[in-house]
Amino acid sequence: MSSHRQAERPITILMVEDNPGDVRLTIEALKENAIDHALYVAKDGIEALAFLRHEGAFANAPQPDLILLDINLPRKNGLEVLEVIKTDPASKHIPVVVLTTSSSEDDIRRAYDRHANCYITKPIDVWEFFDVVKSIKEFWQRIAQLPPSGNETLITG
Amino acid sequence: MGSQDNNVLIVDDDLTIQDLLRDCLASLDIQLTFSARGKQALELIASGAFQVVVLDLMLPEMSGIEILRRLEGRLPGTEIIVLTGYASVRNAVEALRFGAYDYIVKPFHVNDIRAVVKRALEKQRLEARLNAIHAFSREMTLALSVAQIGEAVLDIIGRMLDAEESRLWLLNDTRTALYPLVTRGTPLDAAFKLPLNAAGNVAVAAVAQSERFYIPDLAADAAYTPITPATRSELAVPLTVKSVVIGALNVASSAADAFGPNDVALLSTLAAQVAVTLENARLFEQAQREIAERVAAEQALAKKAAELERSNDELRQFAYIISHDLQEPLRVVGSYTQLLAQRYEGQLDEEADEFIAYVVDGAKRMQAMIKGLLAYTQVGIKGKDLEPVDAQAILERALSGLQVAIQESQVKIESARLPTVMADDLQLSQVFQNLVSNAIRFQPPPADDAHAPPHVHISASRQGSEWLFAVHDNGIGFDPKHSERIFEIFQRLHTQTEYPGTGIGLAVCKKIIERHNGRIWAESEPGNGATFYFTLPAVSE
Repeated sequence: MSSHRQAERPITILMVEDNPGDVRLTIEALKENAIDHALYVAKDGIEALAFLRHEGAFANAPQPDLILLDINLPRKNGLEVLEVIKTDPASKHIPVVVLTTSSSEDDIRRAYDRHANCYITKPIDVWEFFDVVKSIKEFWQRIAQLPPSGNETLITG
Repeated sequence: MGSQDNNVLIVDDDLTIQDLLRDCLASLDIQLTFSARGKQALELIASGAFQVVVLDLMLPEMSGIEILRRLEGRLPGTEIIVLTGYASVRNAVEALRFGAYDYIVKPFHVNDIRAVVKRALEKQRLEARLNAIHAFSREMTLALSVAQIGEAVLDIIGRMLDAEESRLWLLNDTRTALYPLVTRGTPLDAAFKLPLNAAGNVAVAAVAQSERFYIPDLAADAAYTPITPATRSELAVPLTVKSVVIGALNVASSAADAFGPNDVALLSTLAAQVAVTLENARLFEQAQREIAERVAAEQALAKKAAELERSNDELRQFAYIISHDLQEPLRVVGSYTQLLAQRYEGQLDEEADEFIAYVVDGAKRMQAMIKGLLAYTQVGIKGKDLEPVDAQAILERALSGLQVAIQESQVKIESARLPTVMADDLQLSQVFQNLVSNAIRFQPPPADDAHAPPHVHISASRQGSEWLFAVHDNGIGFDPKHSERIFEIFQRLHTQTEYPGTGIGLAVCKKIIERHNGRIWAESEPGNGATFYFTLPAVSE
């Protein structure tokens, strides 16, 4: 396992989430699952888009490998952000996991209509949540064999 | 009847005869017009202005027979009496064929001519009256309102009777007084009333006796006092519908004995017609009022239903949003207390561990309740249309969802072959799941050796247009006095430590079954198990 881990580089994750409790919980889950990661947080939809476009304070922001996107966000909600990400050639290849409290069928359908790669309802139980984050890691490892970003070659485990 | 309708035309070129006729008809209340020439006479007769024409057959320019022929039969409003010499009675017969009313042979007796003219006038008068009554009848069939009818009847009375005053009286609702619906002559106050117990009024007498009532000379009869002091004679006819008096027609004149048998008959005819028409109009107005009231009531009900529907919708939405949005912070609370418990157990003191355990438990229960509440609010929102579904297959699906609980409790589940019913399959599955899981949960503690192993039996029987389902268990049962309460949301009969639960399962069942137009209830005795019954619509054949 450790030899594989050395071959991996940290996953760069952009988490779009306004609740610091959830952010911290995600960090705990990443730690718990021993995921080597660089986590960036955008507190609302506007900030998320600025991050992806390297605007203003985010001029030096890296391109994330994975976006964790909440739906209920201030200023610009997750579905709007998703639509922008998935129609912009510069960002549409980035896997987006919609991670939200909503289990509404409408939200699920709308998310997939806007080309979400995955829709996950935040589990109520913390251990289930940790399992979800673990599965996201696995999900990313599988999906990351797809187009390399820039001239880097991604090696998967 | 007014004298304006007594126009008599004398057509004779013999001035002696003209004078003679003028003299002998002078005692009649008529207007005489004379003509001596055929052509002029024809024009005058054709104008229709004369009720009676005395026509000499021998005329210059045009003979009487020729005039009759030119008139092509009789004019409806004119009676023609021909005068003929003794030698030419044949002409008179021909004249009758052309529509003449009668003939008089010259030389004639004064009384004869007077009698014939009088009779012709009377005939015209009666015919005019008949025509007026026909016209009135037609008007009555078209009249829609009580007021219109009253005006129409007083109009015709005004045209046909020599009455200075005429009134249509109606009995009030309590049948204690007459009030004037319409009045001609001396105006009456809108609030004017004739109490039925008051003596001395002709209309009251007619109503009280249900009989026409005529006082030819009030001056000679101290028992009756007219409304207008100048009145000398007064006639009243009751208005009767199916032998119930509803009012009276009443005419008065300042002349003594102004109303003859013809007038009484006419007023009676009018009264009969008016009574029926008034009753029809009253029924019609009543029906219209009732229809209007019903329409208004229906509209009010529809409005109320719409408001209720809207507020219900709002409430549902509200409950849904609340329960949905409450999940978010609660999930954070729950997650962190779970983390806290896991990572710090034993590191603080014992009390802290206990407190944390309560927080974890409380958060978990609240999460379960909110989840249940969400399910409860979604029954109405997410329900599908009812369609024929196989209850057997649905029960099996529900049981497979309970597999773990069934294995753990070692419950024995049996079911009769269940029918196809009209239902929302997901919701019916939910009902089975909730009822069976209750049956499994509410069993005596395992330590109770005396108790038989847990057992659940599900069956259904046809009851008219419904199927009655029964889910029977041999569990702990409940006191029948709680049999309503258990279906209310968040109502529980046990502590969390005895039998954990949210108190939502049966409320959800009730809501689902009611959405299916069914009923749900339970029968039990403490310690003797419980049977939950519910009905669902059968598939109509």
